[in-house]
Amino acid sequence: MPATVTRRPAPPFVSETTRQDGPATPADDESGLVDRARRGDVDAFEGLYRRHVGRVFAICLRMSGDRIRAAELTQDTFVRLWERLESFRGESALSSWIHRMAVNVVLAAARSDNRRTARVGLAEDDRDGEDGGPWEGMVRPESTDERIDLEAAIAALPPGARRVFVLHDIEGYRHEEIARITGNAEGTLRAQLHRARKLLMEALTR
Amino acid sequence: MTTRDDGHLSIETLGDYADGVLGTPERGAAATHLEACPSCRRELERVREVIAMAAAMPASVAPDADLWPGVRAEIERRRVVPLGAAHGAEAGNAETGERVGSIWSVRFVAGWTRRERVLLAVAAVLLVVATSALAAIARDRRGNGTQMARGPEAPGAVAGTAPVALPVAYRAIEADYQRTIAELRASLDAQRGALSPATIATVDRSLRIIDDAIAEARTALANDPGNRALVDMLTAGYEQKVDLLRRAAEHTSKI
Repeated sequence: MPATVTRRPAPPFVSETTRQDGPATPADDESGLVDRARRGDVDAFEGLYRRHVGRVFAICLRMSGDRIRAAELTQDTFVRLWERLESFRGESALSSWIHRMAVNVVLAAARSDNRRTARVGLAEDDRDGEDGGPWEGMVRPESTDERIDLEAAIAALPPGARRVFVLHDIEGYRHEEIARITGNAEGTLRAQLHRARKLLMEALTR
Repeated sequence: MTTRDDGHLSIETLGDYADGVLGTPERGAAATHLEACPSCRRELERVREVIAMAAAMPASVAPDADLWPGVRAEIERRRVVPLGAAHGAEAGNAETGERVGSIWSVRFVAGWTRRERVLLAVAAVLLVVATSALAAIARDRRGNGTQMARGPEAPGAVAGTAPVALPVAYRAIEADYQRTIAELRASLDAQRGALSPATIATVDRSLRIIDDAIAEARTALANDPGNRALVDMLTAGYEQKVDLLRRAAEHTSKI
């Protein structure tokens, strides 16, 4: 029987336009905020924060699978943005630059966490396939009336597979780009992507 | 193209087919199989459904709380603070784990163990101590310290190198701090005569307290290497020490 997938209504914390992402106004255009922030204007930097925090938090949340950790990573991203704002040359859109910065912060934190716990992401993901099924050792996504929230299912993925799925299927990165920023082989990334999709398919049909 | 033991297309092949990245021969073979296999067609639809749902996810998600105060506090913390800055507000509430105006107020309020709370209290004291030392240096700079005395060697220089087994990931970070501290201490020691004995005593007393806090954080981290709060606590201790030494060294060079 074909799978029937019904998406749960978006939880309160998810919105297309977030509470903190304010609309642009002519008098407060982004390039002006960047110029002022570069000169040390923290209030101008707050304007940039308000515009981009939802996007940054989304990537941090989905890649880390943890809301508290995502908040920390979001803060780290903006502190780093403040410190590196001088190096932004405008060759790409500011949003793309900020997005890439967030990805780098998350990946660096993941590498640090792996070193700290003396575990490697791939080895951690290798729990898949052990006794108890593909979700062995992981938090199974909760189901309510047979409807599964995709956010929760993504959060429950193994870390390596989750990051690749988020970057490829949600954020639209190509495998070669992901390979470059993660340092992993494309073949490994493809395997993790397929694993993530398989696990999500199973979660969404429960 | 790969197939499973039961002859159906593998999840890898279905995924690559959906992504359009199969080579021409493989794509042709997969298409032929799909045409004849309802099971694999359903599986392909499920793969495509997941891909479509992922692509349709909201690009923006609002955090549970406003994170800006923590970002701003961290930005301000990394800036140079004027000598003799008021310390009362910075010390904050050690009991609740909140340092007013600090990123910690967002990160580490809840879920602290008793030991971590004790360490945080120590950190709050450090802020007061360090600020007192800086105030003493500032007084010296205004001309209160005119005696050219040579004080005792600052104790505690080896506090950060006690033989405990820190997490591997932190050793490189600590080595960086140790190098910086050694350079600053050498610079300060070379110019101790420019400071009054009272100021030297204040600075040395502050360094001793900071070193004690560093030693305690190191021991705690060695016993609980996965504890992020302890990592941050140890880092804060080193930051405090570097900041104090740097400003003392800068001050003596200007006298």
